[in-house]
Amino acid sequence: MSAKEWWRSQVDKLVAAKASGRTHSNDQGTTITSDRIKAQMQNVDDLNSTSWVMNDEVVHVFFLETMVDNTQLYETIFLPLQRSDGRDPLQVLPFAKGIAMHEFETAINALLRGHTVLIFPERDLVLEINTFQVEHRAISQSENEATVLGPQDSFVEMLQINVSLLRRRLTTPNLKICTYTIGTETHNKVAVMYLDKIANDQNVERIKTRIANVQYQGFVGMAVLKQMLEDKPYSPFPQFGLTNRPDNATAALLDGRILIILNGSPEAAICPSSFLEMFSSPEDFYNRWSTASLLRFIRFFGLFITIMLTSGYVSVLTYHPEMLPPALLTILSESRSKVPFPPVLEVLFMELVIEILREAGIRMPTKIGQTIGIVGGIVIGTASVQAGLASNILIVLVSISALLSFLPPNFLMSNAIRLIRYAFIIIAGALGLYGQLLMLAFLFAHLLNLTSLGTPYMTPGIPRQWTDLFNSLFRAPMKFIVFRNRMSRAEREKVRPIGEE
Amino acid sequence: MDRGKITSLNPYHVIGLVVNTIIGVNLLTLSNALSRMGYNQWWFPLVLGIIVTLSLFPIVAICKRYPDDSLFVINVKLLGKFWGRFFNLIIIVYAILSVTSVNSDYVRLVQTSMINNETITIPLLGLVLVMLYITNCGIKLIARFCIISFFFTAWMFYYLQWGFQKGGIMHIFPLFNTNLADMLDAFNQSYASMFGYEVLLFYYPYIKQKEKAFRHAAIGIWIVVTVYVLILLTSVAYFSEWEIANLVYPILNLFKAVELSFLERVENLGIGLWVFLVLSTCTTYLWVARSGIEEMAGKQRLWHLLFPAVVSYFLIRSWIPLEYQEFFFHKVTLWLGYGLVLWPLFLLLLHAIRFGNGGKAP
Repeated sequence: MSAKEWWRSQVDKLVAAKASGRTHSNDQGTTITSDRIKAQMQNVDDLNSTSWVMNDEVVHVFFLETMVDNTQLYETIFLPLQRSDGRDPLQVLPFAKGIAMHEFETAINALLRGHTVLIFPERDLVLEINTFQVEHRAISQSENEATVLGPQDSFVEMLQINVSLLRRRLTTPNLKICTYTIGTETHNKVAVMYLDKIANDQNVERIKTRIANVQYQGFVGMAVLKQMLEDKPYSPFPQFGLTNRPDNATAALLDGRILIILNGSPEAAICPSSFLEMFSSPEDFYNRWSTASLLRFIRFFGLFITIMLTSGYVSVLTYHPEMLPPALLTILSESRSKVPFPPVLEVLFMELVIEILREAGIRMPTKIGQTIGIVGGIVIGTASVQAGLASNILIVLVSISALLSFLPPNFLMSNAIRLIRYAFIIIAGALGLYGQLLMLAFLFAHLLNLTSLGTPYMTPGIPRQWTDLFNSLFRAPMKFIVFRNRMSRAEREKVRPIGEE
Repeated sequence: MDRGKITSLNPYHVIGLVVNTIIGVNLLTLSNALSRMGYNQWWFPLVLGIIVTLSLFPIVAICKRYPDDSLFVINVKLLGKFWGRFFNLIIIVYAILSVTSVNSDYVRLVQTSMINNETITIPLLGLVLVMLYITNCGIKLIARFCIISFFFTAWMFYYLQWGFQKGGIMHIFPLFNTNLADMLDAFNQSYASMFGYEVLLFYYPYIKQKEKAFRHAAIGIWIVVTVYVLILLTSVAYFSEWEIANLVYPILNLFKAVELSFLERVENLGIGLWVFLVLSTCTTYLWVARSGIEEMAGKQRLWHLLFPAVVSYFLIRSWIPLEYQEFFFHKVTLWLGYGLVLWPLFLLLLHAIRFGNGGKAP
C-alpha cells in the first residue's frame, strides 16, 4: 500500500468514525414521544419540559430556557392555545410547522436551534414554533477595517443579522442565499450568498461542492472554515478575502463574487479574491480616484519595502558595504560600532522584540497595552541602542518595517507578510542580496502558482482583460469602471447598461 | 504539475516563454562573444534573428504535423522505439547540460562578484531548490514566471542611458570592416545566446492557439533581438574595442556607468536580479528533461524531476576539472543545440517519406 493510499484509508476511517458518532444520526424513523425526548436530552439541564392541560387536552411543551424568551413563549403559544376552544392548533398558531411523528431527529434539531416543540398526544400531532431569542452583540463599528468615510456598521455573530445587513443593501430577488448545516458535532449554519445572473455558476457550484465535502466536528470561526475551503491550504497567504464590513461584502457580491457566512462568526469570506485585493480597502471607492490610487500604491509597495528593508540592512552590512554611498556608510558604521553581534542576529533580535510588543499589546487590556507599547517602543528601543545591543538606524528601519507590515487592510495578509520577512532576513544573512532576490523569485513563483477558486491569484497584476487595470494598483475615476473584474468570471460583464452586451 | 495535455498556454505565455528562455546568462557575455566583430557587433543580432526565424519554420512545421505530441513522442513515432528513445536520451542529456551550463555560469559569477567569501554550495543549492519548485508546478507556472521575470528585469534598460551618454556616439556607425571569417566566428560564439526557442518543440502540445504559434514565437525572438541590439549599441558606444575583447562581462561594466545618489555598485543589484532570467531559462530546460524522462518511463513520478536536477547539481559541484566542465557545458551543449535546431529538418524529411509531404500523422 503506497503512502497516499494509506493516508486516504486513514481519512476514510476517520470520516466513517465521525459519521457513526453523530448524536442522533440513526434516530430518524423513531416515533416522537415525550419520554423519548427526555431520554435523548438527559442531563441537558436547560431543557424545560412541561405539560399543559389546555381545554381538557394534554400538551407536552419542550424548549431550551437559554434560547427562548419566556414572555414571548407565553404570548405566542400559551395564550393562543388557551383561547383556542379546542380548535385545530395549526389554525390557532399560524407560525407553527408540523413535524411528522416519525421525524424524531428533526424535532431534536428544532429544539436545539431554539424552537419550541409541542406534542399533542391525543391528536398524534407534533408542532415546532420558532421562538429563538437570545441576547446578541449590537451592530457596532468595525475595528479591524475601520474607515473614515462610508458606512460604519459591521457584521455580528448572528447569521440572521448578517444576512439582513446585506438584504437591506441589495433589495433584489437575485440575491440568493443557500444555507447548509456544517460540523458533525456543532450542526452550525453556513450561508452561501451570491447574486444570481451575475455570479459565475461554476464558481457557485464549486463552493457548494467544497462545503458539502467538508468533514469536521465544528467550526468556531469563519477563518477556520475558510482554511478548509481554500485551494492551497499549505500556503501562508490567504486565498479568500475576509471582511466584517457589509459594504465591502455588498461590493463583492455586485462584482460577481460569492460570500460565505458562518453563524457565530462576524466575518464573511469573499471568493474568489486576488492578491492585489488584499491591499484594497472599501475606502478606496469613497475617496477621490487620485487619493485612492496613491494609497493603493503605498500599501502595495509597502509590501516590498517591509520585506526588503531590514533584510537589505543585513545583506548590505554583511556582504555589500560597498553599495552604500560613503556618507551613509559612515553613519551606519558609527551607529554599529558598539554592537557586538552580526547584523542578522541584531535584526532578528529587534524584529522579535517588535513582535513580542505587538503580541503583548493585543493580549493586554487596552489602557495597559498602550502603555506597554510606548514603554516598549521608546524605552526598550533607546535603551538597547545605548546598551550597544542594536544600532539606532536599525531601530528606525525596524519601526518603519513594522508599520508598513500593518498597512494591508487584510489582517491575514499582514500576518503572512510579517512571517515571510523573517525568511528574507535569514537568507540575507546567509547569501546577501543574491539570497534576497532568490527568495523574491521564490515568493513570486509561489504567488503565481496560487489560485483562488481556480482563478489565478495574481490577477490583475497580470490582467485577464485590460479593463481590470482600471481597478488594480491604480483606481480609475468611476466613469471608467464599466466592466466587472474578469477574475469574477461574471455572467454579466458590464456594471452599467452601456449598449448591448 | 502538468496533468494530461490541457492546452493552457495563451499567446502571452508563448511569447514570455520564448523571450525569457532565450535571455539567460549568455547575455552577460554577449558583447565579449561578438568581439571579433569589433564595433560592427551591434547589428549582428539582426543577422542572428533572421537565422533563428528561418530555423523556426521547420520547428513549427514538424509540430503542426503532430499537434498533440512533443518531440519525444514524434521521435518514437518516426524513428521507432529504439532509435526514438536513443535520440530522446540525447535530448535529455542536452537539457540537463543546458540547465547545468546556465546555473554554473551564474553561480560562479555570483560567487566571484557578490559573495566571494562563500563557496558555491549554498548559493547553488538555493538556486536548485527554487528551480525545482517552479518546474514541479508545470509549464504554465514557468510561462507565468517568464512573464513576471521580464517585467522584473526590463526596467534595467533605463540604466543603459548612462552608458550611452558617456560613450562615443561615433562608435555606433557601422564601418562594415569585417569579413566572413569574423562573422562565422562571431556566429559560433554568440549563437548560444539565442538558444531557447527550440524548446517550442516540447511545449507546442500545450499551446492554445497552435495556428498562430509561429507568429508568437517570432514576436518573442524579435523582442530578444531588439533587446540585444540596444545593449550592444550601448556597449559599442561605451567601450573601446580592447575592452570589448578583454572584459568577460561587459554588461556588468556598463552598470558601472550608472550614477545614483543613494546606491553605488548597481551591478550587484543587476547580478542579483539576473536570477529571475536564469531561473526562467533553467526551469524550462529542466521541464524538458523531466518530460523526456516521463515519456520514456511512461508515468509521472517526482524522481523524474529530482534526478536531472540532482545530476545537474553534482556536475557543478563534482570533482570534474574545470576545463572538462567548460568543454561539456559550453562546447557539447552548443553542438547538441545546433543538432536539435536542425533535427526537425531531418524529421520532416522522414515524415515526408513515410506519410507523404504535408500530410498529418495517422
